[in-house]
Amino acid sequence: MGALRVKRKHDARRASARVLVALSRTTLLQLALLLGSMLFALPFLWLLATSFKQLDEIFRDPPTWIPDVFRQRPIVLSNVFQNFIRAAEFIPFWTWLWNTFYVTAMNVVGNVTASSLVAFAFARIRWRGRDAVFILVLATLMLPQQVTMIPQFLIYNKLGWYNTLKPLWFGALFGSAFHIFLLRQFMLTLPQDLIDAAKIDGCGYLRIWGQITLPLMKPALAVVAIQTFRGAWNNFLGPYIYINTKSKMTIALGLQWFQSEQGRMYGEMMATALVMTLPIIALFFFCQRYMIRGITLTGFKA
Amino acid sequence: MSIVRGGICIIFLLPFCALHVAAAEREETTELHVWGLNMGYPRAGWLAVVAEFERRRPEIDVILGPADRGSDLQKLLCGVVGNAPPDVFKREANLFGDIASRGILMPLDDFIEADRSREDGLHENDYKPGVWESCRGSDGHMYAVPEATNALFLAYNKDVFREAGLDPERPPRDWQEWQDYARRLTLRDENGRVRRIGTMIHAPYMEDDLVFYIAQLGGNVLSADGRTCLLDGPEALDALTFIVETIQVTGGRRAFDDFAKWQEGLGTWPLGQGHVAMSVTGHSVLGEILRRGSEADIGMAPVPAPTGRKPITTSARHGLYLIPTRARHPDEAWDFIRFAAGPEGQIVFLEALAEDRAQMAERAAKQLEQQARLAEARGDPSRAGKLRDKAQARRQWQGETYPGFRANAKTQRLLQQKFIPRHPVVSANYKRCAELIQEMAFVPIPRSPVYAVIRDECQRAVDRALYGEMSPKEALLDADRRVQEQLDAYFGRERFPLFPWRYAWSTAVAIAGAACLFFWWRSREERARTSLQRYENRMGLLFISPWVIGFVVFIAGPMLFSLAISFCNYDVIHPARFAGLENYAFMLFNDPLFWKSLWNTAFMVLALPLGMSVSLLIAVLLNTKVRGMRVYRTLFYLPAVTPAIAAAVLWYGLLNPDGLLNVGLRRIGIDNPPSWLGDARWSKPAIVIMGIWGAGGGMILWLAGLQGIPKQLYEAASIDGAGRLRQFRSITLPMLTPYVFFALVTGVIGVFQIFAQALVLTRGGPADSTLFYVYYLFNNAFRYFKMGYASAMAWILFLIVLIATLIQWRLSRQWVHYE
Repeated sequence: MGALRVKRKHDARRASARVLVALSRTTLLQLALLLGSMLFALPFLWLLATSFKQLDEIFRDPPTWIPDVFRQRPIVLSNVFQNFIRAAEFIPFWTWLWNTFYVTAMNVVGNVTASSLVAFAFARIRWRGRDAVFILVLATLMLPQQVTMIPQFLIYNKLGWYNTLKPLWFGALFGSAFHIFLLRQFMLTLPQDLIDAAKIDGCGYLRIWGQITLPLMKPALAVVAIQTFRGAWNNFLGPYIYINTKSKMTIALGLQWFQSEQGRMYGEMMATALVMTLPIIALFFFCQRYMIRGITLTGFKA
Repeated sequence: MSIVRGGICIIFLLPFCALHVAAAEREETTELHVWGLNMGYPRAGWLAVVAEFERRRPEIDVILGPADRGSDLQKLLCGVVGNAPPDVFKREANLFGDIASRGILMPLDDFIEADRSREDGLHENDYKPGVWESCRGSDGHMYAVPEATNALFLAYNKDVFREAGLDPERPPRDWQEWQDYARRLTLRDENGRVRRIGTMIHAPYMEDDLVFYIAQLGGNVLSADGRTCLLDGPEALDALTFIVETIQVTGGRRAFDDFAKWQEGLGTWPLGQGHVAMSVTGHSVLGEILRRGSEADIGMAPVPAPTGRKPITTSARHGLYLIPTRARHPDEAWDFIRFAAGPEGQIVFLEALAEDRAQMAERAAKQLEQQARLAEARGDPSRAGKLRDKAQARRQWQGETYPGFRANAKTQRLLQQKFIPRHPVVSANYKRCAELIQEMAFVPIPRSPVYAVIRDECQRAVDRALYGEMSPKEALLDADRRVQEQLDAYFGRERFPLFPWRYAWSTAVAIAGAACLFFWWRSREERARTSLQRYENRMGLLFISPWVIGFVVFIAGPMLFSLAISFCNYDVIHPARFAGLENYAFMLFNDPLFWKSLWNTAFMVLALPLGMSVSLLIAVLLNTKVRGMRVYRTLFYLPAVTPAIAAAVLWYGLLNPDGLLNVGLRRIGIDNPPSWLGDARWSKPAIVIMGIWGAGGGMILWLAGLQGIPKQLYEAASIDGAGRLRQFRSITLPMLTPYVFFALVTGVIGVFQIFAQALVLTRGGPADSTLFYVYYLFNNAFRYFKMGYASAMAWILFLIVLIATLIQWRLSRQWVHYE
């Protein structure tokens, strides 16, 4: 009896201890996350602060985190955004944004369509020489783009596409090896019965691809789309080689141009960098579920 | 719902479409593309010149192009090759020699000849002979017209001279005196940290200082026929020794780096603030005084010459106008040049600039006054007074402009009459500089097709001697050898036969055909026997056709082409010549920079596990259920989605010697933090830190991996009494190994692609410590125009990546755990 009571008491203590441990664990975790994320966000906060600062304030010691313009009373909007306004005076910002947007959209649409088509052929159609070609696709993954950079430049030149946006997205129309691989792996996990049923109903492969496979692959397609978006939005080397007039620049190249030409306009540069980054952050904030789940689902372990 | 969403999308897109249509509509006029007008400080002036020119010639529409010192030559070359060159190209003269010898510039002799009969024409006798001659190519043709003369001076802070007990009216006259002064003027604090540097021997953006000091000694870097490099001569050694010694007496490399970085200037002006006592610089110092409304008492003198020699200056910083070959409207281009470089254009330029300055000064003064009022309201009259004084100074001086110095004597006379600066220091110095420009001889920069190499090698020799990597003599011998090799390759290219393209392509097609046949034969068991199989074969080929076309046109074809030119001497402009294994032999046995860039890249590979562990740690933290996970994930992921260029721009500020990082380090008690990007030992770690900041990108992958681990495994383990750490070691890690493998393989491939960081942050320096493989490759291709060599490098890169991947694949069998 006594022993039981002791045990019960002991259990209760252990339970409360467990709750305590759990509590302290979540607090610790929260703390670690908070500290860590702050550390990672710090440079970004600095970017945020700097884009509102004037030159003499940027290199003030000690550094200020809340720019002067926000501490003045009353807050004058044209003062607060003066870096943005001045940057927009110096650069054709809307044109750059449109160029970037256009190139990105073409890349995403082209790559998603082409890669999923090709992946479908590797996953769901049985044709002669398939495996050999698939190995070839995988082999190109290892090819550094520098090997083909110079000849590609000459080819686009021959086509008269130098200093146009075409070289920046045309390649995407042929799919990318990595995404073909990713999508193929994903398609292999889809039930074959569905496709067989459709075939029996007299569906052609094009319809199977468009009406059955694609709707089932949304998470994987989202991953491909997001990755392509990121890559195209941030692409620097491409525009650096192919674009030479201001009206055709993308934001990534424009920023570098701004940096090397207007070394003194630090605040304005930061403002442009901020504007360039915001769409990507928004994209991630809303799509993070897809991005993570998509990779899990594609299961490239095989 | 989806209709609403679609509607929102369309509304969002409309302005873009409108912009696009608007851009497509206006045509009809002659488009004159003008590159290289400085759109920084003198922006208003140039815009006025362009507007006035367009007013006079309504049929011409001037379109301004890039003016970026770092990449404009690459752009020019690509433009000429790609048949989209600018019509007018304005640039500093420093690489003139290189472009003038490449056959991408139009000779201007006919235009100049035709201008003789014109009143407003550009006439040779209006120019100083040395300046005019420096625009002549090595073949005797004129390839450029000079606009500004930008001589080198020694600017010194007279207040600092007085403080140190030196006569402010007697600047140093020869090298010996200069060094003595520099030693006396250098000031250290109690920790030995240099607070004031005696002299900056190297002007901002002056990459060819060694060439200048050699010229001061009466020497040259190239022989008269331009085929022999003289960097192994006695003048070069004396000049380099002088540079190194002077930097050593003023606190050594460390202080020099800090101040050089500082001087390149993110808003500070060390000379005016007395942190630098003397500095080699152009006349832009005068503009700086006006722009800042500075009180500093600055003096200007010729750059001290070696004992017994007259002071000289170099033509490397003249502003030149060029017309590339294949320019669409050369006549209009010449009209623009005549207007912009002549008196009329220059007066328009200066008037607009002066007005812009005045407006800006007024705006700044108003802001200061507003702040003063605020300070008064807060009850801080002393600060308010200071602010009012500052506003006053801004109003008085900042609106002023000074005319600068023009190569055209007529223009210069006109400008000097019309725009006389009132600022006492500026006006005194302006007169002095004008006299000096008349007195001093301009030494033209060597006109050589390999001048870009000469310049980079000179810089490298200075760096190497300064960092103690080599003695000055060794550094120069190495530089001499490398330049000579380039000269020999350029002048000796004719001895190689033209590349037999026809044979090469037919061999390639034959091999490709054989490979296809082989695979067809290997897959004979899969041969179609039924009509369904034939249908499947057809559909399969149809579906993969996008990839096949892309592969043939954009991968296989280019691969073969780059393989072919990797055996060639090829610069895009001249036809390729077959050079056998020369490129590969040079790379492997004769090019220390190749090995250096490989080592730099290998260093980054070694740092890869660090980034991976950090991102794994983050992923483990994020794979828990706590509140606000979405926000945390976004915060950690933030750096990874910041575009590389934006990140580089940001870190350029953070890693500044007095940037946020060092401020933080000093705060926690590290007195002497490294100057990061300015220090050869710390530049790579700085880029690693930057990489770790972006480690969130890898986190997504780990998260996916972590979420793929079945929960039962952990439950079973905890029933068996395994602790958290044990679980991590025995379940999480083994289950993650496929992901580790994937991250390693792609990580290594990614590291070999590092490019943007090197380009934006360091341009490969200091002392080649951030010369990464792809950056060096890119330089070879688009800076030195050695396409063959660059292709050879690309192929070696492919081999390295291939071998690295195969090794990892092989090793992976021992540690990667597949379910």
